[in-house]
Amino acid sequence: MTKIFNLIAIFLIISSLSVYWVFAKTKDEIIYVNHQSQIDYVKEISQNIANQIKQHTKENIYDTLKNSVDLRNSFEMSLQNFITDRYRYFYLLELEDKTKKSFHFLLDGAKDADEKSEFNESYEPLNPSKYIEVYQDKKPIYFEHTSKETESLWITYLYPVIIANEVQAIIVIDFSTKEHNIILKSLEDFNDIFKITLSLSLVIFVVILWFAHIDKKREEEKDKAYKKLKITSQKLKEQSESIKKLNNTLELRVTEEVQKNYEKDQEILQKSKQAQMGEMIGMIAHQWRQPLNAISATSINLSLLADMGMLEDEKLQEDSSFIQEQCQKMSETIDTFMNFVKPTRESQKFKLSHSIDAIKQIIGTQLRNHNIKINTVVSEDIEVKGHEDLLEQVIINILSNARDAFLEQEDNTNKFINIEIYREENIPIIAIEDNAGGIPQEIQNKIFNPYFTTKEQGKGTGIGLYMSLDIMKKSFLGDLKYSLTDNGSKFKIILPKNG
Amino acid sequence: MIRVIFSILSLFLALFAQDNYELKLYEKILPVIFKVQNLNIYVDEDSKSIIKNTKFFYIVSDCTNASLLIGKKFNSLKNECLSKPRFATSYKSFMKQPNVIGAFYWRKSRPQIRFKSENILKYHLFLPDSLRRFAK
Repeated sequence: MTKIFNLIAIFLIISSLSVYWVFAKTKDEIIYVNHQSQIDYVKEISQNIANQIKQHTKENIYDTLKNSVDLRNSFEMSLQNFITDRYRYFYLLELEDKTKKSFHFLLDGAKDADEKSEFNESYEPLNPSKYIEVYQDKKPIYFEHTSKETESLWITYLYPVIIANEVQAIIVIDFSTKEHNIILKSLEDFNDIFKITLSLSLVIFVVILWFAHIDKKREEEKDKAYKKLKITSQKLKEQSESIKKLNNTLELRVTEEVQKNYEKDQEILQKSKQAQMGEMIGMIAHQWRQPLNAISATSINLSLLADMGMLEDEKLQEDSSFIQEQCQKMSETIDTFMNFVKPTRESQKFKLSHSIDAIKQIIGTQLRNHNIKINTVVSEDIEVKGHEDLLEQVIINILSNARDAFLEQEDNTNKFINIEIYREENIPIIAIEDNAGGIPQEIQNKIFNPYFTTKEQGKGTGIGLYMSLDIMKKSFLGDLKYSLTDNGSKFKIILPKNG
Repeated sequence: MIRVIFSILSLFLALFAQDNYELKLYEKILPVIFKVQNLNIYVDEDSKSIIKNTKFFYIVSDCTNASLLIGKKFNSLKNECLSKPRFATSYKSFMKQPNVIGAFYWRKSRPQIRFKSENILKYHLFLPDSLRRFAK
């Protein structure tokens, strides 16, 4: 399309220029030919008149004509015959006074008596120097002038009448260039029209070129957009294939991820158990230390008395009973811990106060050894359904953290942990509050993250609270919330309403 | 279009100029010749269309009050006026009329101006150097 536009534009401009060039050339030729034909015509007439005058002149034209009125009349009649609207004046002049540049008439072809000049009448032509020039050069000349009387453009043709190699007179012919001017004007008008047409053609040429340029640009943009679309389409295709591949492997990857998560959970669980075991061992150690010391002391006393031969049956009986009693206590401790550690396979109803009592047996001694007082308030002995051991794990975990926090507070002489069981909008709550300073604001949102701990290297695993929250959400469909109090921390174990 | 307007304007100006050409010439030369700024002139019928609306001349209807008679036919002149200087408007009247001091007429569409030295002297008029070449 652009090429067609360009071709049309180029054809238009070339054809316009060609037509104008041909016209301009033709115009000049027409003007020249028309003008020259008039000049040639008056030249021929002048030659004929001059020849006639020469034929009748003996020596001097002035004398010849002065002496023969008939000859003058005859010549003037002859000149009259040439007069038309176009060829207005035919007359013969002779130089009168070269310095004054004045002439006088010898012959005049005018018809009208008023216009007709007399023989020997003085005459001062326009451009007299031209007339003098003819006398000097002996060659015909012509010049254009505007007649003051008629205000039209005329040509005056001057032809020398040479006798004996001397210019004796000048034949003057005034003829109008009116027709020539009409032709000239028409041609000039045509020229103007051609110029306008050419200008319009140029404008059209520029407009067409402009449109062609715009069209080309549009085509280029179209191509660019098409290429872009193609590339985008290719990319989409590739992405589609990639997604397809991804979809094909998604199941496998999901399985892999699930397996990874499972393994991770197992790892966390394992670590949690290990931590728990460590805690248990510590707690058993605390529970056993006192009876073991008592047993040891009793047995040493018995052995000493026996060595000294002072052991009496009654004393032996009394100390044996004491040792048995202490062993029984130790056995009970093991049972308590065994009950705690042994996982409950099935969900069952249990009272929250029971769980608190069991926990106090496990961790109570340890806390007391650290001068930490446990206050328990049971507003309502609430019964819930679930895995009691898991709830106990959660509570022990919170209490262990409180204990560890208290260890960093040597100056605290009033260490306490308040445990309260109550309902809030019918929701069972176990609130555990301590005065161990609390968790700084900036890390409160991280405490439930796995492997996050503020404890020293090797003392904390960072999975206790993570596991606790996990147990509350997954096993009890409940929640675990932390809040900062004036002097410490408060954990709310939120249990399900319908227990 | 511009060409047409220009042509019409030129023609108008030319016609205007033509109408005043002869009058301007009279206004230019006669006060010099007569050495007066305002001249009383008597104009024949043929020249009345040319010599009008002039500030330099008083055109009088009675030739007796005129200092100069301008025209080519003075057939009905009063006797008192016959001796007054005349300025001809044709070659014939210039040549044949009595007391003619000069003439202005058109010949072959060219303006012609002539003076008669003897009458210029007769009426004690002044012919400047620039016009002497036209005197006979």
